Amino acid sequence: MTESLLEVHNLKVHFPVKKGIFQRTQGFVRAVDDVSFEITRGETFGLVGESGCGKSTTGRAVLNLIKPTSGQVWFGREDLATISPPQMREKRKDMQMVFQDPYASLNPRFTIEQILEEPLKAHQIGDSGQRQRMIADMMDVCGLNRSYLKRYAHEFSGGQRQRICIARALILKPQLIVADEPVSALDVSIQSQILNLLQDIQEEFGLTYLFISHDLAVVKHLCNRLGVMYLGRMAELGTAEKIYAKPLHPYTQSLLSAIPAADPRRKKERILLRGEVPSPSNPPAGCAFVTRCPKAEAICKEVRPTMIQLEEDHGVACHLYT
Amino acid sequence: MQDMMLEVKGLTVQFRNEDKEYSVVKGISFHVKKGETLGLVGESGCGKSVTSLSIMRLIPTPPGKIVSGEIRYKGVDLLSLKEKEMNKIRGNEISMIFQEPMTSLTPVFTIGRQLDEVILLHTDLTKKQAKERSIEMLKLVGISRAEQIYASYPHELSGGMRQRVMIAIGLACHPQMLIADEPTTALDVTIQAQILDLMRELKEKTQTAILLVTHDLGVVAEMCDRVIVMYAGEIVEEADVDTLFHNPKHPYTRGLLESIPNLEEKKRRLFSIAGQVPTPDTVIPGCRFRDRCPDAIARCEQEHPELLELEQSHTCRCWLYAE
Ligand SMILES: Nc1ncnc2c1ncn2[C@@H]1O[C@H](COP(=O)(O)OP(=O)(O)OP(=O)(O)O)[C@@H](O)[C@H]1O
Ligand SMILES: Nc1ncnc2c1ncn2[C@@H]1O[C@H](COP(=O)(O)OP(=O)(O)OP(=O)(O)O)[C@@H](O)[C@H]1O
Ligand SMILES: [Mg+2]
Ligand SMILES: [Mg+2]
Repeated sequence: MTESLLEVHNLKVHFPVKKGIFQRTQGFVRAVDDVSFEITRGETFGLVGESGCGKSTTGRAVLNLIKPTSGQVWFGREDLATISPPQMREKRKDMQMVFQDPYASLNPRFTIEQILEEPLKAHQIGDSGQRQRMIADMMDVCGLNRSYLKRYAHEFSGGQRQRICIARALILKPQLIVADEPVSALDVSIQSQILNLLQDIQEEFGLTYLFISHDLAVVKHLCNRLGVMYLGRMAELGTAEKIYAKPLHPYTQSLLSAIPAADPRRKKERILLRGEVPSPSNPPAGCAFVTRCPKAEAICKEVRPTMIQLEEDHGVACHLYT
Repeated sequence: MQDMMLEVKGLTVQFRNEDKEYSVVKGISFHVKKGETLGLVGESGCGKSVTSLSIMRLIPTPPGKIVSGEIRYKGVDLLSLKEKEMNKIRGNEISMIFQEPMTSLTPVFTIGRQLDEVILLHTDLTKKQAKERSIEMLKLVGISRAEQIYASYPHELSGGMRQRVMIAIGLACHPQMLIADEPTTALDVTIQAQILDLMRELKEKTQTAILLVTHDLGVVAEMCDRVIVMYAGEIVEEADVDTLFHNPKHPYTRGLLESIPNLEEKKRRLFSIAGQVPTPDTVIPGCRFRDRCPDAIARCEQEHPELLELEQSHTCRCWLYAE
């Protein structure tokens, strides 16, 4: 029996839109609007989708860094919305995040040593000597030269900073890592080192990943299952193998067609998306993709499609399949 | 030459760390012509952003310093211009899309204010017109609810939305030379395609020259005419895009191309170049890639390789190709 480490049920995160000098709320951005998925222990679950569709917000809600508007997040046997703050603090050790923007997420006034030691200190792990060893090991693992130990974060290039972020997340040996674009700032040769590294430590420590990425080749390489989001909703959900072999949702189809080939001689046939880009503060009544879908029908304007399970491990929220 | 937009000759940039001084860009030379897109790729930390920032004269000094070299824009030596003259060129004739959107956008001002500012500085538009132009630019880079976003603060935007705001700022004044430092890393492929089309259109309409820094080799293949590959502060290979992908010579370039994850075949592990880049302050007498090179020979140990011309407009810094 496979056991799920994380279950997300009907997650909604709505941000207020404020206006005027009184900052009155005049509406809501439905950043995440009724999303459900689960992640099995030891697997890598990918989250892909259009920029601004709510991937990072989902990741942050999973880690309880923002309060969901509604819905539940089960981590192991606990509903994170209902546990006490001290319990949550203890749980934090088991859940770490690697952020999208390596520039904004490191304190520029800290040396690498301080950055990596901070989480160990906060959770009272090891004595000073042990911590030094753990830091040195983790720097090796992440391809950071040990001579960098006393240098400050602002002295590093984007890619090097992202390695520091990854080292910081890994140093507590968590159970779940939410990795938000962890390799998008890296050149491909370092990217492949980091991806291999993520795979190695996953095997070694039985880690589970929620992996958010725009690089569909990377997602295919790394992920067992994935979810494709569009405008705060889940459009398609299934194993990576099935989704890449046979994308069902018209959005997924256009997404996969737009991957640029690393070969100037190959010109790919792209499915271009036309039509109004919908707003998450005023989403279409029916399907979120209706304004740009090349296959839209009358019903798509009116009725919001629900996730239907077409095969085992492959579901889609689209009226074409009902 | 008439259509030469940017010429960089022997650019060397140093940083200072406590008591040490070290070069992170070491005597690099290249040029970009009108209507041309030059790709700049290379290992993280090899000096791509420092090169780009040097052209804009935005290297933080101290700790950084351009110690030698020339940067000519339409024949004018940018390094000898007064700050006031440089200000006129910056953001107007030459504009840059910065790699780090979060630190380049001011957190306390709305997106609209930051866009308007650039437009007002470089055009004769009124405030009202500038606002219209700003909103139009936001729509152009694929941002929905542009009016709302105009009034929002940077932290209320997703990573990719912030990056697109940077692109909107970079393109707002129809630059003749565009330096784009990783402009699409935070974007999904459909929006990336849209942004690339926008840049292509700019190039076709106004003959804008583009220096495109990216590690996405798919983007390079799609956009660039020529490509330079940097390693540890030096150019190690330069070729037209077709040659670079189909006849790469430098062992580093080859390793880079081999590292791209492939959509078609499923491997358990990705290829990766062994080892780490040397830190900028290590003194290496021979080739700087030697320790990681699968093909290194004795000569690589002692002598620093020069850039060799292999064919017309294909150069490579590697002893394997010396007579
Ligand atoms: N402000 C600074 N102080 C000290 N060193 C710096 C500073 N900015 C950059 N460097 C150093 O200069 C070198 C080149 O950095 P640069 O940002 O140009 O790399 P890059 O090629 O753009 O890398 P990436 O692909 O990761 O963005 C790096 O070794 C970096 O540590
Ligand atoms: N603090 C906030 N206040 C208001 N709106 C927000 C806030 N954070 C996010 N949003 C909005 O929520 C939506 C989803 O943002 P999110 O960062 O989750 O997108 P994403 O899928 O991660 O995008 P990207 O791929 O560009 O990183 C966006 O429309 C964004 O503007
Ligand atoms: Mg995000
Ligand atoms: Mg850079």
